[in-house]
Amino acid sequence: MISPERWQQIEELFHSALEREPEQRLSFLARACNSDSTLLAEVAALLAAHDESGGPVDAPAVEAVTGLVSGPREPTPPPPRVGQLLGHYQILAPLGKGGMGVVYLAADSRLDRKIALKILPPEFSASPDRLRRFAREARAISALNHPNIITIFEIGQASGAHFMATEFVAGLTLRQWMKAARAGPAEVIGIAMQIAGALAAAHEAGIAHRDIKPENIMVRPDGLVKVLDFGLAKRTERTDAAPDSEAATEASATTVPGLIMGTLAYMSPEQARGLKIDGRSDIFSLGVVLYEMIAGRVPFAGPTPSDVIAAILTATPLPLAQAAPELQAIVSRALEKDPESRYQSATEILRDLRLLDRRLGQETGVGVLPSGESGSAGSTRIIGAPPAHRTADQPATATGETAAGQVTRSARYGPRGAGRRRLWVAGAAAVLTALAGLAAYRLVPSRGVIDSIAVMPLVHVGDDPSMEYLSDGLTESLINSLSQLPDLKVMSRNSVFRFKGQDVDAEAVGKRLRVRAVLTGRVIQRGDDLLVRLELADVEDGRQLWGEQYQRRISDLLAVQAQISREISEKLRTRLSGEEEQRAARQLTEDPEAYQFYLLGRFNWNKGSEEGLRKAIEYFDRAVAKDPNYALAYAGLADAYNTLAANYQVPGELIPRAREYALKALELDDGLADVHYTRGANQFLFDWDWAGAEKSLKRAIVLNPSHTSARNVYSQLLWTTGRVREAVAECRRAFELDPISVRTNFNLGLAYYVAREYDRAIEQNQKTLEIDQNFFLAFVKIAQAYERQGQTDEAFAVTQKALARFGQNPLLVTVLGQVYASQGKREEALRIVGELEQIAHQKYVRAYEVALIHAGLGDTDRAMFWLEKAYAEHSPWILMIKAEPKLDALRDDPRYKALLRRINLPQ
Amino acid sequence: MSQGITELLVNWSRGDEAALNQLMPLVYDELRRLAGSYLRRERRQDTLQPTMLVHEAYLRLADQREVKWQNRAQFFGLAATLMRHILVDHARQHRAAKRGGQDYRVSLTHADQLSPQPDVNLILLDDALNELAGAKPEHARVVELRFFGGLTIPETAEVLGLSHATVERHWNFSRAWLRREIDRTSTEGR
Repeated sequence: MISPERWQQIEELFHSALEREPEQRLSFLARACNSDSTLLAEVAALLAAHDESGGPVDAPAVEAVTGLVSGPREPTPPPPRVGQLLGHYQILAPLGKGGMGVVYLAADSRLDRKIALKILPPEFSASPDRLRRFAREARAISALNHPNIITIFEIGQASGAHFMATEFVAGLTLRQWMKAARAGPAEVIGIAMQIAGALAAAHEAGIAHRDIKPENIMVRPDGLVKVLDFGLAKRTERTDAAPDSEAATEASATTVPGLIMGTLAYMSPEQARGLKIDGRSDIFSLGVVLYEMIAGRVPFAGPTPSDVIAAILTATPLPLAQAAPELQAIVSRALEKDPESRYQSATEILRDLRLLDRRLGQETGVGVLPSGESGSAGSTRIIGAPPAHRTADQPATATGETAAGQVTRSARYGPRGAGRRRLWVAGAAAVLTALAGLAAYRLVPSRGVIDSIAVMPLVHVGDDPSMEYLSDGLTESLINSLSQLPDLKVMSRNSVFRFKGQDVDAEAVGKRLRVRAVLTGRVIQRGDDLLVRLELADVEDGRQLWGEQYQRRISDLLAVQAQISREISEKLRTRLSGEEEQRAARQLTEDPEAYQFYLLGRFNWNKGSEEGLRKAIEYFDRAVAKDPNYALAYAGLADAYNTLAANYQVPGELIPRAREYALKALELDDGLADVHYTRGANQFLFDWDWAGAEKSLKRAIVLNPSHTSARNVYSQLLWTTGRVREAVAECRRAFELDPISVRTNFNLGLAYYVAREYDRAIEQNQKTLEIDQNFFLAFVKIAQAYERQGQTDEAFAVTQKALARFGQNPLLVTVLGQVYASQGKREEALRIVGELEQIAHQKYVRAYEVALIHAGLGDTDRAMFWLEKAYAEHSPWILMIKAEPKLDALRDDPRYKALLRRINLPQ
Repeated sequence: MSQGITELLVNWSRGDEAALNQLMPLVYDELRRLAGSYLRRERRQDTLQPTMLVHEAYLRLADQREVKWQNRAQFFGLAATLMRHILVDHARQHRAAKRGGQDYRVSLTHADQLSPQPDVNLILLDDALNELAGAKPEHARVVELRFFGGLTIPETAEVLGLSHATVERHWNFSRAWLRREIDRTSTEGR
């Protein structure tokens, strides 16, 4: 419970921090909180929550419930519509949201050219003074006429909105570019040189950018870099006009600038501390960007804003092992904490980058830069850059040009760039224009054979996050079909999806997962077009074994999946029997729509939430409606009902459905591991048919030895029926296949617990928590293991810790009751039972676990009452009664024995 | 009918608690009817904004000539609380309908009356708001008026007899606190 004093303290700090400039809030907090890091974390989290829009109460309740989006509540001009005229600009399409507001593609009717139009935030244009300064800087920047700085055409006003018209850059932001593929050193250096060139010119004119980050840098298909929003982004965020009270308060109350998280990672130490900054701060930020391009992650990171700040101020970044020593030296010097020790000007860093670029170029015999380009200050060009006569304000428009640029670049790039060609998207709203197929690498591993592989989650690149199911689904399909290959260990979904969303290094991940090869790739989707790009790397020496890309329509997804599986298996095995090859590339439905629905179903199923499961059922239903013979989709339905029944509902009416679908799937195709798995789970959890379940699960494991879910459930079946030794062995096998999955780790801990190896159980559950510190079942098992060993104080401490972290979760409250019982605190334990009876009115309370409290108190009658209740609910938890150490005291009770009999468990 | 409401409001403002008891079901019914029409998506932008719902109810129920601002403020205070009940109940019934089980049929009929789109977050929010009320009752009241009642900051200040600045501070803090609290509870429930 938080004391009233504490509330007061938190609230006061929160308001004091808000009164300060966004950049200074955290340093203020750090000072004010002194050594109280809990307080700091609490207030920082509240500030972060304050800065985010879309919170639970941001739209009025009625709108939140109806999903109605009404017009903005404050009187802001409505957003422009496509086709609308703003001055002499006609809006063509929204391009995206920039640091300064929404950006549109528009046509300039006077000059017949395309431009980018940014609508400036209303609170910004409300102050004439700020607007004047903004316009002055914009003019100064434009006057530089630098090829790497975006050209500003006009700052104007029409229909009540202020806008800025700039050159339209048909390309990707550096953020998207980094996501699209991993760049080689030459490309990275080429981009860094151009940014440095832009900075050098601006600094010379006395303008600092103040917000260098990948979102503010565009990369054109021809390789030309454009730096956006010079000195402007920050200007628009800050209310640095004389704090003209009301307007400023109003503005900060409604559209709070996205202070911390977004840009924090790129801030220089002096910026983070709220000190005065100059061009050297930009150099630091460039260092961060450079580091990120090389390493795939930012140098200073942390779970909370204050951690990030602390890292920026004090931490030394991890060394960039994979980069050339000269490049490492450049990055280190840019990232010096003290501005005095850093590069003193952008020209200096540019010089070092150029020297390195030339050296690398000579080594490979292929110039990255056309020689003798160094000429005028900062006008760097890289391969494929437009001919000199074309100036930067001529936007690249046509797709043909894009492709042409790319060809030049590839040709000049020669052997070093092969296989690393990028995909280009002409403009954010534009059509996907990708390269034609490339000659794939045809290499075999240097030593030995590939006997294990991890298929990393394919990265989805596209504007629509709801299409993520495509990349996730394709990943899973690949895992499944590769699992069909004999003698190949394939990492399960659980293990690899832990890395989803992280930009991982294939070699490092491969070593961590203990596999020989790693498949990585991206799915780039624009409308109905799909581009899948894959790379298979040998973990031992980092070599690329194979790389390919496929450009198709979404409706061809099925065919692509089959083709990819076939090609990868070819790479992995020189000789496959015809039957094996067929198995790997097997198509399980002919109907592309059904396949898509299936993927959507799995995508939602994997979320594991009740809502996810509900949606999964909807999609699987649609899949079978499209293709009534689609066995996997029926298996999906059975899985979803199994999981719902086991976790979220009184199983009752769901069980027959789960059973029906599993049988249907089996009838349609009995050659699929997934089908036997779901049937087995169903026989085990609900039919209590041990022999049948064992047969199904074993069959699933034979069909796919890497099916860790099947192995996990099989192990549970084994210990449930008293075969504890075998269970531990089975868990170990699953664990070896999948060493970093939460489930295999937890399952092994569970097996140790029922094997009464409590030390191991505790250790194993602690490992589980290292993987996922929010997996609260692990806390439960640690507490119960301590308790069994008589270490009741430790059990109590763990339970308290879990309660503090997860709140009054019914299961944790129940465990607290169990701990009290074991401590002999009868009254406290009974009080908890009373509370649970209250909670049970609103939430599902596991009757089985309540029985354990009474068992711990020696109240056999009450324990039996709750066990009977669990039995009546047909709860899968009742299956634990034979193995559960906490029920040892009941073993001789005739009612307990009768219950075992009714559950078909051996005496 | 409008006459009745006005009278009841006036009586209530004079301290007549019985008037409140008579008033509640009338206001509740009207709000529920209005909310329902939004939830069923019958309303479009051409009618009043959903934010204006309590205003609309007020316009319909009270006789403009007779009622003073003071009564209006009271009315809004009452209406916001009732709206909270209506909307949270709505969300709970949806959740129950989704979960199936005993109350399936009962809640389904309610669900049919309202929208097909469930919103479980409202339930979390309601819990979090109760939590907030335990420590900071005034803050929670501000949220109720702003979020459920759709009132602006000046209106909220009027109803509660607080300064604009105080309401704004309460609102800013509560808004952040609720977000954090809900994020925290909704990530743990696995």
